[in-house]
Amino acid sequence: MINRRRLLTQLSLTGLVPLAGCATLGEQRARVVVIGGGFGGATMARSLKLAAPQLRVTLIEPRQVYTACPFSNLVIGANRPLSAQQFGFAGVAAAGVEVKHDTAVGVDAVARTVTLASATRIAYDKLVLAPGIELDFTAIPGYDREASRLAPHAWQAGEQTVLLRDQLRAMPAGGTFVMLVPDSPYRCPPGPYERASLVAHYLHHHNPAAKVLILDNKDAFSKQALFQQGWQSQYGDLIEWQGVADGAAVSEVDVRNKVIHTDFDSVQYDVANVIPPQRAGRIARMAGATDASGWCPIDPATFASTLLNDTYVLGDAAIANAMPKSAFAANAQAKYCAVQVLRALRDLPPLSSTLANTCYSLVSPQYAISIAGVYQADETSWRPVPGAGGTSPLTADPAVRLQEANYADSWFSVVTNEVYG
Amino acid sequence: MKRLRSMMWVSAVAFANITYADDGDKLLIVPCTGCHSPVATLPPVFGRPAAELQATMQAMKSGAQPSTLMMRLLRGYTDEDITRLARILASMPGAAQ
Repeated sequence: MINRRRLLTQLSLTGLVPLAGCATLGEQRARVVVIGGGFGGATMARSLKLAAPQLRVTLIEPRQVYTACPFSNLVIGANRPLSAQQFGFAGVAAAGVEVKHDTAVGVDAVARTVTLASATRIAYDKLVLAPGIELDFTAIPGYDREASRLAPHAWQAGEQTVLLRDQLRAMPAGGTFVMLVPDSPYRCPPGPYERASLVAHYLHHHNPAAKVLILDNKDAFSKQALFQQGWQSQYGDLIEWQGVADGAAVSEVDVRNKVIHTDFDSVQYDVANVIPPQRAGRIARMAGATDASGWCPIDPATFASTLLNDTYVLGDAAIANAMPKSAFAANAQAKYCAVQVLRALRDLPPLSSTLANTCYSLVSPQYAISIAGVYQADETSWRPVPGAGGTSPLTADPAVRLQEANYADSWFSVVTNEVYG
Repeated sequence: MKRLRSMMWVSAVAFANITYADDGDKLLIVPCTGCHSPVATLPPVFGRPAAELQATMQAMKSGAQPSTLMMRLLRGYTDEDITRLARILASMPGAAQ
């Protein structure tokens, strides 16, 4: 296997066509600073360095270890170790990227400098913001950062993921697990429903009289028919979903008394997973790259910020319209945007292309469903290509659901190898 | 240790390692590389003959060849796009099947 991979790799390397030969003098001196070492930012840093080895690329990421969100629901509801979600930056650094474990606290887009928490200031020619999300701890009365230590969000993977897993395992027999889901847009549209599925998977085996109640701040959700069909077939009536029309809009979370107040009712819970509304990561707002929505408007052709010069935004923080806030999309956007950044450094016009997204969701560890989309940029937005995309069929053999679960697993290996390997 | 180092080295570069910038045409395969790579447990696509790739993609697009989600994706690409995709993927190294 190793030999086969090595052979593949050597073949792969011989095919590289680096840009050194056609690099301009300006590009050789240029520096690109990327803020955020998640799927979008790390892909961007490596793609730039791969295409233009002489370019100086600096990645700013406070964490020494990145904990990936995709597949983290298996940590909560199955036996996946958190370590399977964790990746260091040695591979990124070995690719020639200058990795600075520091926090960006300010951007001066006129002087083109980034200020770091360590008080150093670094200059850039082009800046890429890939800061992911910031949770809005003011949106739900009673749910602030302190409350999240009792009722975890687990929407940024790591400690919170483990906390929710441990609370689930310690839940009393026949207990109630309540999940609060925000209105769109938010990171990973089908993620909450995958989580509910895998929580039910755990309960089905270990606490079958327990119940999962989803209080959703909207009236429809991603892959809804497929999820609801899967829940019924795998877990019977264990999961109950309520939308706004059912009275699920939450007015207050009381983590001391373990009560959630909705417009018409109060729910006593044993474990609460509160996923609050979100906005672009904090540095995007501090830099002035966000609009009133809290997210970052971009020129669809290039992912360039419409608010800041020489700045690009990608991944969850960007307003990419029909493209969902997913790791797959961030990875694809980064490869696309890297080309546009290099072309800008060379004074070449943008290059348009079709992008696509694929998101798998696990209904159980051996049962996955998918949603796919194909997108093209027009003057104002990324739009779905008519007639393309959509979800897995409602009627499918268990072998197909298993195959999609295997493909999901393969995707995670591919993307994490590429980005962090 | 040697084995470990070799694995690390392989994993560091096993990704398609594609520079999309050297040839604007290549940007078209960005979404393919989200799932397809030498480390994927998917049918190989890099370096396969263009005619084979084109025939397979057309058969998946029409539904003549069953697929999990490739039909949904390929419906977003014109016949001309698919010809281009096949040509680019065939030109990529990585095939030792």
